[in-house]
This record gives sequence, C-alpha cells and structure tokens, in this order.
Amino acid sequence: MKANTKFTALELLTAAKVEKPEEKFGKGRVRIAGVAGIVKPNHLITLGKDVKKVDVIVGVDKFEVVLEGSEEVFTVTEEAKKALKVNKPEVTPVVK
Amino acid sequence: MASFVWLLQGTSPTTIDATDIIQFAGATFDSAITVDAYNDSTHVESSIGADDSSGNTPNNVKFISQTGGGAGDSQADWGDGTEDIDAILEAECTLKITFSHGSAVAVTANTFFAFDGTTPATAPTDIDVRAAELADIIFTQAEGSGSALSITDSGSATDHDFYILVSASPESVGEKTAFAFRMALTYT
Repeated sequence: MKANTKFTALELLTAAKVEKPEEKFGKGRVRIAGVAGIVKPNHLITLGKDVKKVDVIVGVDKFEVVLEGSEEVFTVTEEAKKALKVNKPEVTPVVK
Repeated sequence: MASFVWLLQGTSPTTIDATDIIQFAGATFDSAITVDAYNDSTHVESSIGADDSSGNTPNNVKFISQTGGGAGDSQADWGDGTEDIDAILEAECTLKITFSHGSAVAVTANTFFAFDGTTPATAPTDIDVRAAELADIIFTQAEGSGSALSITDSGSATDHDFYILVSASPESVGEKTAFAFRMALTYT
C-alpha cells in the first residue's frame, strides 16, 4: 500500500487489520487519516505523496497503517474505481 | 498558517495569482471561442492583459461529451484526441491546486466551482463550465456553489495537491468577465 493513491475506507481498515472491517461502518466512530465521520465502506480518501503512515480509529481502538513509499503516478485502486462509478454525480444541467 | 497555490499546468507550470485571469480561448491567446463550442487553449492572463503562460505550453482540456464515452463516461480532448476522462494523468490536468498548512491536517468538504465573481451561489453569466477531479469518470457542471464539483477527502498531511480538469463554453457572443473560480474546503 503506497501513498499518492485514492483508496476506499474499507481498504484502509483492512490494511489496518481491523477485525471484520465491513461491519464497522455506520455503527460507531470511524476516523481515517484525520478524516472523521466515515459511515460508508466506499468512502473515498486520497493519501498524498508525502504521507508515510495512516492513523485509523474505530470506536475507541487505534490502528496504524505504514505505507511503503509513494506511487510515481497518482493511482486509483480497483475498489476506489468501483466506488467512483457507484458514486458518480447525477447529470443534471444547471438551470439559469 | 494555511495557503493556496494555483497553477495552470503545462510543459512548465504557470502560477495563477489572485489578480490573474484564467483565460479560456480559441486556438491562441485572446482569440474567441465560437458560441456553444469549448476552449481550444487555456492561458494565464495578468491583470494588465499580458500572457503570463506564454512559453510554458499550458495544458488544455476540451470538453467533448457528458456521457458519450465507455460505460457512459464523460469525454474530453487534452491533446491526444477524444478520450474518457478517467484516462487523464495528473500532469495532463488543467489545474494543480495545492493547499498547505504548517502542521498536518485532513481536508474534507472540498468543493470547486465557477461563479459570477461576486456571489458564490450564482452561476457565471452565459458560460457553460465543466469540471472534474483527476480520476473522476464524469464531469460536473460546476456553476455556483450549489452545483459544485465535490473533491475527494484528503488524509492528514501538510501539503494537499488537487488536480482539476476544467473546460468552458460561451453561451452568447462577447468576452465573459462575470466568471471566477473558487475552491472551498474544511481542514482539521
């Protein structure tokens, strides 16, 4: 897992070795890399080039993910690509 | 202390200062775009009308279609012909906006939009604006704060780089000046 990448929250909880990570969303506090209020497993989070480690808080438990360097080119994981398709904005022309 | 740096990307980046203008044009600086067509070039114009990006070969992203690509993706042309916008690389995007803070912060509720230059909620006058973040599959008609492009949350760091594709089209003849961009975010 490297920096300069867009991940889903579920991928980051899994990398943090949270037990049954898919069951944590919407039931208690999930905070990843300082981003609070995460309630969906497909919540997207970008980790910038200089990020070395990620703090994960689930409820009162704290975890850490140490990244293995940074991608040369900005990368989107396959799971994040799926989330982008699911979450794509409605095409609604602006009324002027 | 928080700060923003806006760059028009290209062979070399051009810094966009607060008093500068991002100029969407026809083939060359100061040339007109036909009504209902989209920009063939993008430039940084200084407050006295100079082409600040001259010599930097600035990037240009031209909107082609909202849903005409594979699986209904948006399409644009950034110099290689028509492609789905999720194929664009960070160096090919129009804008690189860096938000920096002296200590590491997370960035959430980040939006980017065009407005009339006065009231954030008001769309620019007689311009169609399409914007997307790097890796998005579809453009947002980002006109007014209520229709803003939503930018992905960014994990805790001192520097946050945001890469934006943006294209514009006049809906009537004449230079458009009731037109500005804004990024608004929350950092914690």
